[in-house]
Amino acid sequence: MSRVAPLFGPLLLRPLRRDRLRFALTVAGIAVGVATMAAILLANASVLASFAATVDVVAGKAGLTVLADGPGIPEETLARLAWLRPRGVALVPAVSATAALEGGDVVEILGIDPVTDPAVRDYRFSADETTLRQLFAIFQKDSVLVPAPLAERLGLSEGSELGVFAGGSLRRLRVAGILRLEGAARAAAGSIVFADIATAQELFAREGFLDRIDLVLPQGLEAASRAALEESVRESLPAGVTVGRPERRTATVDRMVRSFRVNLTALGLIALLVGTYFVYSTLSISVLRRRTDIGTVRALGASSRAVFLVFLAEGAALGVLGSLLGLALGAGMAKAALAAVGGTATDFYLPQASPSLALEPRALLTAFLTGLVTSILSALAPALEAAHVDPATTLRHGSVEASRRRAVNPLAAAGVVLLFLAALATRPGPVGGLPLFGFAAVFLVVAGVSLLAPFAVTEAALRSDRLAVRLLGVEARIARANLTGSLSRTAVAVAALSMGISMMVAVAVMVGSFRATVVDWVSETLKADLFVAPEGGSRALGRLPEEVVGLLDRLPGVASVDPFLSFEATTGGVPYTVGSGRFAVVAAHGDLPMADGSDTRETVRRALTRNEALVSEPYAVKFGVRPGDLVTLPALDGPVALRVAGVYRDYSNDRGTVTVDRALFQRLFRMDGAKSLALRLVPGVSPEEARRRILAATRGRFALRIQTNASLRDAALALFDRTFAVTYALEAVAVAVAVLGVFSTLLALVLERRREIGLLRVLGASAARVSRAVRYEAAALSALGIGLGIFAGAAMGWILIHVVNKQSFGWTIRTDVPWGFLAGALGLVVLATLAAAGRPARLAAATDAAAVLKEE
Amino acid sequence: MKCSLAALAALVLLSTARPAFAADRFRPLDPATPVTFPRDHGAHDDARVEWWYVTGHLNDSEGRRSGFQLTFFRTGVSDALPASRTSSFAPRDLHLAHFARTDVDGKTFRYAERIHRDGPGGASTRSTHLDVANEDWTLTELGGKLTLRATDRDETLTLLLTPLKAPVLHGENGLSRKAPDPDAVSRYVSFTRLKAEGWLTRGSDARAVTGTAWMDHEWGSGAIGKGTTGWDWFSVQLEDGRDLMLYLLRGPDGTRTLHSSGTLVQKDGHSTPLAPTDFTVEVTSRWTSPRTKGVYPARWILRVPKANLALEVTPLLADQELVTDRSTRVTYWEGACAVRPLPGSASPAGQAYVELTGYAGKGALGLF
Repeated sequence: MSRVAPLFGPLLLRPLRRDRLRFALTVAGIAVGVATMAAILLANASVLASFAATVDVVAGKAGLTVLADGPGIPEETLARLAWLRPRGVALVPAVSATAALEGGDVVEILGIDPVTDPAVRDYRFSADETTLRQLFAIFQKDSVLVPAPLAERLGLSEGSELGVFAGGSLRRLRVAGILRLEGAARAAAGSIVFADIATAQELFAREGFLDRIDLVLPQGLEAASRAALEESVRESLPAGVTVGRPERRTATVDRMVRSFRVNLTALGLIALLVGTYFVYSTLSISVLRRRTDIGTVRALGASSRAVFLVFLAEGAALGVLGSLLGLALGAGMAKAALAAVGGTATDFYLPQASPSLALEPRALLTAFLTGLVTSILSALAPALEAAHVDPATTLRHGSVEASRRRAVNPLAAAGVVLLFLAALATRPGPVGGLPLFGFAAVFLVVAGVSLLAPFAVTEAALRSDRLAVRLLGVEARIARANLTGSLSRTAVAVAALSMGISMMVAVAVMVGSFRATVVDWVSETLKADLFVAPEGGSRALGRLPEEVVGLLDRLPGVASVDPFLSFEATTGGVPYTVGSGRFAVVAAHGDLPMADGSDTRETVRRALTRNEALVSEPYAVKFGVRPGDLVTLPALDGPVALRVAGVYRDYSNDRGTVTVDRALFQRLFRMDGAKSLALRLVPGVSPEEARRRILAATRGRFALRIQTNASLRDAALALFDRTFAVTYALEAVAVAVAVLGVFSTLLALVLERRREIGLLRVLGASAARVSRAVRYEAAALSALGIGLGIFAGAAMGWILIHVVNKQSFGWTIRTDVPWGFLAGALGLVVLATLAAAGRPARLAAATDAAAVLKEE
Repeated sequence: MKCSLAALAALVLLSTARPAFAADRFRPLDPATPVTFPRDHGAHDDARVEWWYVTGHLNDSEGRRSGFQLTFFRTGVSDALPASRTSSFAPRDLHLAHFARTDVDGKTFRYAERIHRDGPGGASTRSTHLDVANEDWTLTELGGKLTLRATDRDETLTLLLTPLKAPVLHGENGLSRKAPDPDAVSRYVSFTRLKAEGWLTRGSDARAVTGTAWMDHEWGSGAIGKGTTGWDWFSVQLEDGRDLMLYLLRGPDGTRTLHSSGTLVQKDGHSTPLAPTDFTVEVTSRWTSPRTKGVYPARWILRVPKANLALEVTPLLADQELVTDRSTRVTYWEGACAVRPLPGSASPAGQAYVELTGYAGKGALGLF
């Protein structure tokens, strides 16, 4: 390195000072890409880590955990497992629920048996007292234990009251003790409240059911006898109840967030690609601009290897700087995202009320290395080029460009091949539930279009010549000559711009189509006049008692009530939802659009009379089910196979749902009440009037949230827009980076061409003409970039909608191009690039011809 | 007097929970209430603590001797009966149980403990007749006889117990004083002599056993055991058909006797209470627990002059100590003992069970 080190000064530091802006932009470009990736990886890692931590903490010392595939574990299961006790196995039952507190916080509530629970979980109290005695304090009805940080946040102390929304009303619980943030209290990052198992069952109307039974195995149990024991336990379990290692729920959640994660990571990679293109462009331009310097140091004895290493080091340095910046930025973005999302992806089996940011080293390292490696790789070509600079010919500029031009056609051919491969990659199905080929197709499109950029530039220049000259005069001719004359720079700028544009177009098309589809779907399905749900928090939590259903059924002015009731189920570790409604009501109104366009009323009526099921489109895609097939549901008295009457469209749940008529549901799962109710009113009764009547009938007993049709629709679309806000931000950044690329390219070109511009001025070109030539060049670059970008974006949008989305979520999305948005956004890009051309143009116009000539 | 184990456990485990309850469930014992059977062999929901205690000496056909102890405690955790509650786990009582066996010839002592709340797969009691269960340990009255079944690891004891005498009411109409405190009384009823027949199985080995057992049943809501650090309790069955129950409560200094009492039961079942002045208990040997370092009395001379009894009581096995970390959290000694006439006296020989508490750990319970 000793022979490399002296080169840093003249080759890197000096230009760095000169081109501070461009380097800053390059670093920013990488940073944005790395940040996006880091944010996605970190957010996911955090959700998973906190979930896994909670699973670990809740499982405590359990070697095996009994969980339900269906609506719950019948509590008689405890007696069925009694034979385990003489074998030294402790059976520890628990009930769990997520509930909103009076102040809006969402917490987990774990109903425990304080007698047996210490065998599996640790409880430490703030006061230095006998823990068992304090634990037994929750034997008192409606008493809870609260971890110290939560108590502090809510201003609670022993004896104070805690308001919890449960069973459709606000219940006041008494704080019987404050737990230290140790052992079980660490679950859900301390957002957990412990009650007696009986209190929890009564609060959440879960009498007769348990959510988990932890088995603490005797110490020193060998693997073989453990496996045998597990098998025996499995044999003594009722239908729909499973046993396994406690951490198996983590795998389920991992699977749930995986498609989400992969999709976002792919978007992040595209952003990073734009960023690294920037490294390539900056370094290429840097190499071209410093040819003289390189020649000089070579003449002074520097080896070509040393020059190569210096430029590679520059790429690496930019990569390190950008990546580090990106990590910091990404951590901030992840934190914000987690705060916003609040763990919706894990909303079952002891979910996370508030996942905290976990700076998982692997996620950080992955993002950092991706940034660094892509930076170095994109520095490779410019570095090689620098190494091959011949000291003798440094003054002759055109030689490199000549070799570049010869590569135009082979590159274009390669681009076409990649596009062809992209088309092929849209054919195969998902790999392990993930649309890997779909993503490959997206990247192939990006790469293919990039390779086509030089070709597009030369072709455009060639074909536009005569027309352009006639229309715009000699400035156009100069601009055109510059386009091809500095192909290595202009093509890079065009490719970078097209990449940014394509991403914007693709995402806009996808999100726009999705939104249009959802808007249609919402207007087709949300037809009832009023929607009633339990009060508490922003999330739909808890269940209203059957009494509320009856009350609304009898309420004057209400024409029909459709109560929705559901639970989360798993089959082979894959989660899905089992839901129910009154099919008679659905059949009467037909507000459940079928995926294949068949008649809803007819299908639902058939399902009702024949005791058949309806499945949502994501369920059908995920489990490969079609009308006429059988689906098996974990009914309490044993699995029940139901025929699928039809597939309905559903964009509200990507886990997939099996829906049956309420009567059948209640028979199979012995669950009553409703998570929400859709009410239709008798003509002439206004929603406001009905709302008043409902409130009057339930005042003081139930805490209900009543929404009108319009407000629920607005809420649904607001939720949609919030979910996709991140993607809009992402693409805005990508386009901004690309536009800045055009700016820096033009600036470099102008600086480099001072000599030529000076000559032009001497030969009589006015400052205005020189400036115009630069602006024309900018216009040509942006036009080419936009053209290629639209082409690539359209292709990517199609792939995202029909391959990636379909394979990962199972949703059918009708393509609906948001023309207005696209026109506006692209117009902005044109204006931005033209504005970006301003400074280079002024610089060109201000070129002092005399000074330039003197230099010559 | 084994009693106070449950009472103390309740104090230790539940004292913070108690004050908040509305006290409409537990009532002080009313001396006027007559004791009737079989109802009063069952559970008393208005008593805060209650226990059933069976001890006995068994012999198999080959003459091998063993002792057993099976205890069911019930201690109220909820001062209101959970009538308004819908969960089957609604807490009412804590149910604790101990099961110990002494293999006299094999010189081994094994015990197990259980603790449960009300709820599926746990424990239960009945208030109509004797029917208590803790998991698969049961004690039930059937047609005037009792059946008992308990398992621990590979051992199972199944017994049919036939009362040879009518139930004995200790103290005054069954009201037995358990501490200096005047309301520290419990209702104390015993079957002092039960014929035991049944099976003791260990793995595939099953042995028919016969012998004699003793059952205590006590209940109450008062401050039982308050101000005491421990007690010594003796149940003696003599070959002449008489039975003797004695207990001594020790005060806070751990040695001085605060209160003592006893009952002498004649062969025909007729019983007379014994005042503290009616008997003496002299400790003639001590044993140190290798586990807890507790120093227990290990041989006694009991004298009841007005019954012409001078007995030497000797443990059949030195180590019959129970460390009940999981249930009552009490460390105590409960063991089968031999009873011989003191040389020179005309007393009959016999057998006994002795319970010693408050000798291991700090104070009576280590948790106080």
